[in-house]
Formats: sequence, structure tokens, C-alpha cells
Amino acid sequence: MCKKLISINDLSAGTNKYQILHNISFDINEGEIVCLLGQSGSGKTMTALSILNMLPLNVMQTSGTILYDDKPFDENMRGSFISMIMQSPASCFDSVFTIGAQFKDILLSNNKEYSIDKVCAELEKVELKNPHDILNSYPFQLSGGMLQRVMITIALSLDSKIIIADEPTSDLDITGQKEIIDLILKLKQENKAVLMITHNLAVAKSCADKIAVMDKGRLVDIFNKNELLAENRHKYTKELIAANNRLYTNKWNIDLGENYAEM
Amino acid sequence: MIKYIVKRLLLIIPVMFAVSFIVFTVLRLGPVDPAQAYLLNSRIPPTEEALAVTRAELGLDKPFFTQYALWLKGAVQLDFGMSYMTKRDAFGDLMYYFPTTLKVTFLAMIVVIIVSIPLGILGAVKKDSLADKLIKFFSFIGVSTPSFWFGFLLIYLFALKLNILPPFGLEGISSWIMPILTLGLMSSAINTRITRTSFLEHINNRSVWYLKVNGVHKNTVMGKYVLKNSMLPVITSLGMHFGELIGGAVVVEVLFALPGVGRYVVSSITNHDYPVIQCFMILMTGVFIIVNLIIDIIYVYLNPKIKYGA
Amino acid sequence: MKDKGLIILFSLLAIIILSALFAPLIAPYNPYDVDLTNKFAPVTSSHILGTDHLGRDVFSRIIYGTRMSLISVLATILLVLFLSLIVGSIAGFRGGLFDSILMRICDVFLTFPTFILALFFIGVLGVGLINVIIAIALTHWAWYARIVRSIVLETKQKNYVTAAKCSGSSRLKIVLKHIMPKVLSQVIILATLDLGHMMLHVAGLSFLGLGVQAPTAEWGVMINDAAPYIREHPELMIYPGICIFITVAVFNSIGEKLRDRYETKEFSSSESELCVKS
Repeated sequence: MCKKLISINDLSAGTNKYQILHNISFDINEGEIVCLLGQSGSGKTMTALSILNMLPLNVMQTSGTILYDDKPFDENMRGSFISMIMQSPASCFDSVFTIGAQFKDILLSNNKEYSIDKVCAELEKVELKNPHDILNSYPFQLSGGMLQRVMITIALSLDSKIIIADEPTSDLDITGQKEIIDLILKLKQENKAVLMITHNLAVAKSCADKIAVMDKGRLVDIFNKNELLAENRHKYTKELIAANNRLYTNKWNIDLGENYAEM
Repeated sequence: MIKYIVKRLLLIIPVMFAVSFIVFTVLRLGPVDPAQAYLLNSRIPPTEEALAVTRAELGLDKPFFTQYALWLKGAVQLDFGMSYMTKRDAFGDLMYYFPTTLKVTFLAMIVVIIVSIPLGILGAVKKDSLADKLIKFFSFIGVSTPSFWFGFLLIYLFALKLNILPPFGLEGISSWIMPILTLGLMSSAINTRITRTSFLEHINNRSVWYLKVNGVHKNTVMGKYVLKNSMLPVITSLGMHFGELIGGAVVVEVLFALPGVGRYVVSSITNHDYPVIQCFMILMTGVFIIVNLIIDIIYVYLNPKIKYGA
Repeated sequence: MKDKGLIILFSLLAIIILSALFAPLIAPYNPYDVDLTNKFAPVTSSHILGTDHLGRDVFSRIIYGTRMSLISVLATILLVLFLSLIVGSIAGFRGGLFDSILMRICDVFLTFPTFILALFFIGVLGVGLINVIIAIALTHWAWYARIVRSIVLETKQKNYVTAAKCSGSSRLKIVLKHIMPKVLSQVIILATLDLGHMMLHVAGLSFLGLGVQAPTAEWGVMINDAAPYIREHPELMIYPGICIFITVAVFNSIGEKLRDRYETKEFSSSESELCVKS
């Protein structure tokens, strides 16, 4: 069995008025892609924020522990141990600095070397042409897909053990989604763990090893990908599958890797 | 960038042309015509006869546009005509006082920048702390205090009670302190607010969050990314502050008896000394336009979104 | 009205307005009654703020001063609104050449520093309170006209206006019922925020001797009158200054509260729109 990189035990969080997360427990192992699945407001992002120790000011962790490779959280883990890929990449880069400057600051802050040649080679790996031009451009000069690739490259260059990807495909068209999912699968080959947050069952199905389903702040179901259609699935998971099948009838079936659509 | 600067410099010409036309025309629309004003200043009773003579003398009998063309021709060569009051060259008179006014204005501008930007940032970084509350209180007081009254309070306290600063006039560096503080108070207060709000807006940007979550140290994020972003609106507002300061300088000069244009211009206004008023308007507006041009260039230089036309 | 701050602000505003309206009833003396035998009288029960260098009752002068301040600032703002609503809405509704000409005129007005331009207009019109009011209005209208124009342009494209057009409302009805209320509410909030600033301009011009003239009971004039006696009687200068300060502070705070309230209301009504965008 691989080693546990992150182990969440009985995590609850909330504001002083209402509770947002109820007793969440799950692990993320080395070289594993875990998908956190649920509709908006189900607490997926709050769980990720708890892992990053970046909860909004008015939200407090009320119970539970999160261990990072058996150690408690410390600020230096951001970037070097956990890194993050976000949705809507156009607003995730600062518009008055070049992509290269931001790339450099992120690497240097994590005691990583910044060499332009190496970074360019990395950018070419994610199929970005003219990497020099990309480093010298400002975010508003690049497309969403390009910026998402830059983000993945940053996560790769950081060489952190675990990458949290918050809806990395939600702003992209369907071919762009497939390309990003392929890249995320590549991360796995480099023996990285990925926590992928998504509301899209098809996306989860196409890349996850383990799927954790959240509803109303509770972790209702967690299972390996091949157990998705098993009889003992939680009622909510079954509903999700049914809804997904209604959405992707054969007419709309677009081939996105193995069984992207109907299952 | 150079293209932009050249374009903006060339644009000054039509703007100054429009400014000069308005200044010249509006003065003619007023209730007191120049010949009458001239006679009043020379203490000659404005009889029909005297008015006719003066009109011919000042060229006021010529058609309006000829008069404007003649005046503009002179103005381009910095000849704004003769003051009705002193009978000296208006431009020469104003230039004698003008350096002091510019000095007061620019010194106050520096004070505004030095005071407001650090205070605004401090307030934003330590939001809701005691320091932030004090800073908010300062800007509240500053925005509502009449500057000349604040000047009097300073005079009473520092010159009359504590006796550490000269109450008026120019006697060395210490006599600049009170005028500059008086002039800078309001703009400092306003700019502190602008800086604070702008900084707070950018602290919560997603791009800032992304950097933080990937391990960039808070000091780098604040001191580099948030700072540069939040300074953009502040830089724009400095242009507006300069306009307020150069106007306020007139009040402060009268209050502290500084040898700037203030007193001279106030007496020109009460006495309808048109050549001086015209020259004053062109000078002040010219400086204002140039300062705003410089500020715009700095802004474009710092903001790639405009530089690369996105 | 849960907001305590707002209650305090409106009570202060009420005090200011009432003392302006009922100045003759509140003031114990005629503010112009000179009594040279009773110069610089100290604070007593008969003269609650003492008397000035001509033996005039300071409290009465302050009460009457409220009138001048409020009248001048209200007259200025009404003039500004009048000019800017006309110019801004014509530019916004007509568009085309009309619009560009009017906006170029605004641009020229905005190239001048405000206070300097006010000095210029007084130079043209002559010294006096009415001319100060006209001068300050003339220096502020252009900014408002641009705002009115931009609100008109923005509202014109809103879906509810299109809907009203489609359902056959007349042009006049659309303007009066759908566009003007929006323009007015926003402009009035901006004007409230600007009232204090304009008052300071009026006071500054009075101080320079270009506005209200000497015997009149006005706060700026009172400060100027007290200046020569600042060493012995600083309080004569402090009272009117505090009055200006409080009035300006009340206007500023009310303006800010209104703006905050209005903006949050605005936010909640268009929240669905925002969600789609983000």
C-alpha cells in the first residue's frame, strides 16, 4: 500500500452561525487521483481550503485533524508540499506582471531554481508553443486554455507531492477539457497525488482512482472508480449517475477517453 | 510608448488653444468691459469720452476675432499685455511670484504622497485594528476641515503659544512647514482613503490568493503584487489632487503671507485686472495639464493592459 | 432605521436646518447690533459665546451664519443639478454630433483646476455671494453632466427599458418613468457627497474676501474677522470653524451612508446577474 500523503480525520468547520462541513474523513495516497464530487455549495471547496489552511476569516475549523505525511500543517508546506491549480485561470494571474515574473516568484519562494531554459522545456511538454513569448506575455494576452497549462506547468515545476485542482476544466470547451484531463493523468505518472474538485461526474469518471461524493457538507460516499455502478452505492450517488445519464444521451455522446459520457 | 507620449504632447496644443479661447471669450462676456476695468484701475471716471479713448488704445474697437488673434500672438510669445493695476508686464509680474506658488504646491504634493500612501496601506493591512481606526478618524477629520481654519489653528498653536515656528512670511525652512501642512491636509486625507480602499480591493484578488496558496511569502505578495496593483488608481487620483493643491495654494499664500501669486491674483480679481487674470489662468492650467500628462504617462507605463492595448 | 449613526447624523442635520430656518427666534440678539462698550465680552449667561471685536453677540452670529452656509450650498447644488441634468440628458438621449460637441465642452471645463476656475469666474462676474454660487456651480457641472450622460446611456440599454419599448410605452413615458428616476437617485447621492466639499470652497472664497462681504454673519467671514485678534481671543475663530467642520462632516457622512446603502441595495437587486457573470 502506498503511503498516506494527506489524512483527514473527522473534519468539521463552520461560521459562528451555521456549520459548513460535518465530520469529513478520507485519505489521499501517493500517486492517486481523488475526485471530490458534488454540486455547488456541497462543501467541496471548503474541504480543499481546510487542507490548505486558507479558510475564509469568518469560517473556523471546529473539530478534526488533518495530517500531512503524518505531520501537522506548517506554512512552508504551501507550494512545496501542496500546490494548487485553480479554475478561471484568466483571473488567477496578476495582470500587471508577466507570466514569467509570477512563475519566477512562485519557484523562488519555494527554494526552487528558476532557469528560463528549463521552464521553457517544461512549457513545451504541456504542448505550449513559443514558451519564451508566453513567459513575456501578460495574462490578458493568453487564452484560458494556455493559462491553465501554465498553471499545470507551475505545479509540475514546484514538484510538490500533492496537487489540488479546483474545477480545472470548468471554463474550457470540451476539447480543452480533454487535453487538461490528459495532462492531469500525466501528473499521476510522475507519482504525484491529485485532489480534483469537480461537479462533473463524467470528468471524475475519466480520471479518478477514488471518488468522494459530497452533499450538504457531508461526505456521503467514497469508493474506487470501478465500484461506481456497484449495488451498495449511496442513494445520492445513484441520483447523480441517473442525472448524468439523462444529460448525456447517446445523441450527445462525445468520445472523451474511456467512457467519458455514459456509464 | 514613445508614440503615445508624442501623441499626448501634440494634444496639448489644441487643448491649450481651447483654454485660451474660453479664457479670452468669457472675460468679454462679463458685466465689466475691459475699457471700464482699465479706467477703474487708473482711477479715471469712466465717461463716454474716456471709454472711447481707452478702447482705441487697447485695441478694443477692432473686431472680436482680430482682438483674440492679436492677444494669442502675444501670448504665444509670453506677452500677455500690461496689468491695468501696476501698468507693468502681467507675465513678468506673475513670474516673480509664480516660483513660490509652484514650490508650495509641489512640496504639499510630496507631503500628500509621503503621508497618505503609507497610512492607507497600513490601514488596509491592519484592517479594523486600532491603527486602522485612528487612520480612518484622521481622514474623516481631514476631509471636513476648512484648510484656512486649520492654518489658523496651527499658527495659534505653533507660532503664538509654543513659539517654535514663524507665524507668517518666509524666513528659512521652518516657515514652509505650516503652509505645506495646511495645504496638504485635505488631499492627504482623501488620498489615504483612496489608497486604503484600493489596497483592500486587491488583497482579495484571486491572483493574490493563487500566489499565496502556492507558497509565495506574504511580504512578497503584499509588497510587490498588491502594491503595484493598488497604486494604479492612486496615481490617477494624484492628478486630481494636484488641481486641488494648486488652487488651495492661493488660499494658503494669503493666509501665511507667502510671496506667491495668491495675494496678487486676489487683488487682480477684485479689481478686474483682466490681463493678469488671463495670464494667471493660462499659467495655472498649463502647469495642471503638464502634471496630468506626466501622471498619465507614468500610469500607462505601469499598466501593461493599456500599454499593450487589451 | 436601525442604524444608530444615521439617527445621530439626521438629528444633527435637523438641528442645522432648524437653526437656519428659525434663526430670528433662536438668536438672543440681532447679529448686526454693534456695542463698542462691550467688546470681547467673556462667556456669560447673557452672551453664551461672548462678543466679538465690535461687541456683537457671537452666538447670534453663528446661528445666522447657518443660514448663509445652507442657502449658498443648496443654491450651488441646485444650479449644478439643473445644468448637468439638462446637458447630460440631452447628450445621452440625442447622441451623435450633439453629444460630441457637449462632451468636448465638458472636457474643456474639466481641464481647469476647479478652484482656479472658480477664481476666474469671480474675476469675470465680480465679488459677492451670488457670483460665488454661480462660479462654483459652473466649475462643478461638467463632471456631473458626464455622469448623467453615462447613466442615461447605461440605462437606455437595460433589458427593462427594452421591454418597455417593446410593449409600446411612449418615448416620454420611458424617459420619465424608467430612466430619470435612476439618473436622479444616483446623482443626488453623488451631490450629497459633494455638498461638504462645495461648502469648503464657498468658505475658502469668503476667506479670500471674494464671497460674502464683511458685516454679514457668515462663518468664513467670522473667521476672517477674528484673525487679527487670534493671540488674545482664539475662541472667536474656533467657534465658526467648528461649525463649518461639523456641517461639512454631517454632509459627508450622510452622503457616504447613502452611497453604501444604495450600493448594497443595487447589489442585491442585480445579484442574479452577477452570479451568471462569475
